[in-house]
Amino acid sequence: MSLATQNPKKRIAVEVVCLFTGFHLFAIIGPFVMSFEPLLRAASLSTANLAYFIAAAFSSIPLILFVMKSSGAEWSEFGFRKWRWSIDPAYLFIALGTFFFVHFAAYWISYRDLHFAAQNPLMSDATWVTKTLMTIRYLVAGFSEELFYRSYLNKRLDDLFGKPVWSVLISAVAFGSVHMYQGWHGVLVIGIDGLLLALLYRLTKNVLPLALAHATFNCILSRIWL
Amino acid sequence: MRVMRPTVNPTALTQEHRKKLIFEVSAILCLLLLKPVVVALIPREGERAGYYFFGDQVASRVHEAFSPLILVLFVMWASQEGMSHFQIRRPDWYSDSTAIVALVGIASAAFVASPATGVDITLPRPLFLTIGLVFLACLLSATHLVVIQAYLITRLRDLSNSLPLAVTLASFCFGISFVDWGWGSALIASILALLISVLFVVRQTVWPQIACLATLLTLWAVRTGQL
Repeated sequence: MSLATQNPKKRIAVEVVCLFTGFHLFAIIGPFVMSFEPLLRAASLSTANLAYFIAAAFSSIPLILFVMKSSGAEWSEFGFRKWRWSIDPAYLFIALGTFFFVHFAAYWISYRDLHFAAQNPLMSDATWVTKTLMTIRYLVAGFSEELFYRSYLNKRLDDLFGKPVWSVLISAVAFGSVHMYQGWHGVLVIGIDGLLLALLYRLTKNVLPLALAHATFNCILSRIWL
Repeated sequence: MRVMRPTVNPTALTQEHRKKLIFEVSAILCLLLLKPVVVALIPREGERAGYYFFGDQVASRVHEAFSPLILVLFVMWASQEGMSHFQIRRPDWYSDSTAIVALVGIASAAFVASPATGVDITLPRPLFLTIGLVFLACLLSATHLVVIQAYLITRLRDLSNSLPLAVTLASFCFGISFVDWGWGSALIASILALLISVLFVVRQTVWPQIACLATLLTLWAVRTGQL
């Protein structure tokens, strides 16, 4: 029997740290390292670049699912439930409303928009292939982020600390911190998003409405097709 | 000479354990291969010339090496068999140090003899990036290359019970993970992986290969300004 199976608490702690740093280290340290650059990097937008981002977001999903499966918990404990037509559409709209409320409140307070595709000068003459890939990128990112930050992280932090308040706070801080490339303003706004969505996840016990809302919000706010 | 022997007999694997291993290997292969294969196959359109700077490059390399490394190490650690099943254990200073010195010597000699020594430093960058992050990136890259190879060989051997097949498949998969750099790079990476695999199988340790690759990569990066 390995050490990991002998000490479940230690296993969960190592698992959470490994998965978080493994998938998101670059999002946190990248902006710091690049801030030391004396020159700015020229904007680059290409189908290959977008395909890379889509594949990067998608490639994390099987490993997270494998770790969930290996944990011995039921899928329903990670928020995988059948779509309930009676209640889940309402949760989807509440989640979407939460995203819009937080972002527009932040814009109203600070007059600072977040980093999105419409601000990229190369989007103006992008072809439909690039725009489609951009849309897929935002859809996949929405699903994979909800899978990790709400579904996986909340359950495993519950297992580790036993108190939901820590799970909600830590998952929100983690979710905010990986958006470091948007600056501290982005970290704060998305951290608040993470906090509210984690609370909503506690109510719904279903990750699907949140994932759909996240993907839809990404696509709407990016204004790719406008 | 120690030669790796199978410790898991596939006929003894339960259906449940076998399914779990297949799921695990598929997830790791997806993590390794999906990005490069998609990037290699996607038609290039709207490519724009951009300036890539050293800090950006170093940060990307650190991430690309660190991300799979930490995830694969976790999967090894959390497995039923434990880390030692994958031959990841503390260095044996008496036997490993000789191999490390020999391999680092060969790597340094190969570098000095290679055309790369004539290449000028092309990318401007601050000194601290050269010294600190370059070494970190090289060390992580070397560790990543070797550890993933160790993982793939062990797991493919567990599933197939054939060491030559596991070594061949692991080297092939490893080469494919560099296909976004071009088919030539994939071929060179496969050959390098084959050499690492043979050393790994014969010596049952990862440290000499890591030391050798880290030396080569650091020399290359400091000399040419490329990672």
